[in-house]
Amino acid sequence: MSLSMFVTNIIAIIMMAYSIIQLLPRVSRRLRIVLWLYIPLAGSVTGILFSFFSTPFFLLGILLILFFSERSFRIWNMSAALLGWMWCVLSSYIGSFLVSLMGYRYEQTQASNWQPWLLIAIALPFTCIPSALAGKWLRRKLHANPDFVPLPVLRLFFADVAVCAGIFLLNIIYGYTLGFPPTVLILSFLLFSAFAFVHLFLYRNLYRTTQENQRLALQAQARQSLTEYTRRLECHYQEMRRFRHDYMNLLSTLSGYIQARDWELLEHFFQTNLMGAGHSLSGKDAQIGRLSLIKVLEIKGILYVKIVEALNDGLFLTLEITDEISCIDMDPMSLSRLLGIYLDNALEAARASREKELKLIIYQKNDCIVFHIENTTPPLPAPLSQLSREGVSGKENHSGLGLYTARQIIDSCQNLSVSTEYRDHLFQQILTISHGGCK
Amino acid sequence: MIPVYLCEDQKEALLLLQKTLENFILIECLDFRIACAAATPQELLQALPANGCSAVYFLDIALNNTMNGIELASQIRRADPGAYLIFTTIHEEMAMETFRHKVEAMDFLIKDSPNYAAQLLECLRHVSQKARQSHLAHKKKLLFHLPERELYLYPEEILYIRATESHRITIYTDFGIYECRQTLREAAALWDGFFPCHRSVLVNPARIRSLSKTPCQLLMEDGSVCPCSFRQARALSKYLK
Repeated sequence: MSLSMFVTNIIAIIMMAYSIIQLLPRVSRRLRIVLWLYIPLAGSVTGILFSFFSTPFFLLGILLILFFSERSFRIWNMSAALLGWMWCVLSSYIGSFLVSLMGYRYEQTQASNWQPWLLIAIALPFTCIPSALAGKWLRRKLHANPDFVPLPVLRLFFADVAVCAGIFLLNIIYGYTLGFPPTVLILSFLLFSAFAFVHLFLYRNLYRTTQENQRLALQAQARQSLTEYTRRLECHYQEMRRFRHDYMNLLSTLSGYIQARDWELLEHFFQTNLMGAGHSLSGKDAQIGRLSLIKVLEIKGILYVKIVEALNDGLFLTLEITDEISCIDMDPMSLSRLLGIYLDNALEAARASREKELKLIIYQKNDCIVFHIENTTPPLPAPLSQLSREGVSGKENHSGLGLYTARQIIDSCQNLSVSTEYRDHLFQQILTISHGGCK
Repeated sequence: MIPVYLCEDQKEALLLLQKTLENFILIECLDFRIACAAATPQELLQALPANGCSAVYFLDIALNNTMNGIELASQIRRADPGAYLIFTTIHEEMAMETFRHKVEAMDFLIKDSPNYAAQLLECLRHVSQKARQSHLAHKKKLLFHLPERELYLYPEEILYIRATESHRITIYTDFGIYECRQTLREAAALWDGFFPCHRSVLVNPARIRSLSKTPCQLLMEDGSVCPCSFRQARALSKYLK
């Protein structure tokens, strides 16, 4: 093997390492260093000694290393590594194909001095740039929503990627034993490109469908809570009618006693009947009626569910909504999730506290929409600043992931800011959405 | 002498309020003076001085005027950011909490209540105490612009300030964590006592409990952890001596 071939091989393997590592969505620094050491070393050593026959073991080594990454990103990492490798293979096929178009055969490339460099020059941008960009896109998507692909689909994806990688491997080994004639190069290039296109198309559609499904599921949930809300409102209306009816009856009875000047009976009647009538209208449903000012469906839905939970748990709930909230300058779904997390925490704390108070106040001020959640709480286990970090939680069996997810949502939204206050066993979360009115 | 402003559309109620307050001021030897007893909001606004002096305002919610209580309160706040706003009302309003947050009122008093007078006195005492504290302390309060209100903090209340992405900072204090749309540089300009212990963190050195080398971070007085860069750790330990 010529010197330039040797050097270009090293460069090629470093390129492969870069391409694979750039595509990985979430690896710790330690694993990244291990991979940067493993891929060039193992790749070049086994490549020189055993050529393409060692590739399966080389790949298994990478998968084994990635097995030790964060659990929730393990499958992502392993799939991305295989994809990165396959992309390298494809781009080197493109390079080889183009070089072979110029009339050079594989054996010539082996012996030549400058042809390997041409191969590298073609393959470099093809491999590294798409990897880096794809990696960036993937990281951004996962940062915004870690479960944007549901787990069963993710597992299927990994299986598919693994099988494709296997097919690629077999093809390479077979091609190598044949000596990579131009026909093999062309066919492999076409085959793998077709593979890639079909899969891209397939996964794009799958992704779209999953997103749509998620959206519909959330919509159905919102609709269901709205139906419940309407039902409650109608119950309340019926109760009001009944109350009015009873009240009219009582008044006419009173009027009868007054006309007959039957003062003792009047007094007796007043004491026994009228004092009870005032309590028949429960404050419960009156509170829920205030939600009518929230015109954003997702927000109305989540607030309704949490308010009902508070009332059912016997908490002292104060709900004040005085301004109409008809549109907010951020994704309603994210806001709904955020409110859900904060209200869950508030409910749990209020339940555990002695006073069991929860206040939810929503208003507009200075061109912002403010959600003010106040609750009584037992003493906090950690200082305030530690509570929003991952892993710390005020609850016993909770992973503390809720507040971490909340942090992700806040960081990803420009208009949103959150203040937290804790004074005298009173915990306040103030969510502010700037430029609250849609212009 | 802290000025007191009154606004009440009912003549008798206004006179009564003025008399009650003047009596309290006299009897308790409090440092107040009635600056203006206005019957309409416009009259009150005209009587305001050019620069704010953290005055006390007793305002009736039901003003019977084109301007409502919230508007009046926001105008007063604009002219006098440190104002103490106290609202009086005949009965419990429907949305007291909302109103309280929107106008940042100090208190709500119900005129019909039997201990209305006692509550008036309590308000005066409370304001007097607060004013005395800030005067004795000779300290300037730092002003941060939160999206929904202005936040005033004493420097010693702040543990550290951290920059988050896109020109926002998070202020960590004893009682709360606040997010604000200002840059770290602007925050540093507010008080010269901050120490930049990290590229994106300003710390109040007086509130540090200890500095740890591995991992490089600061342990604050309330138990929270503040990040610190390696470079600044040495400078900081020198500064602390």
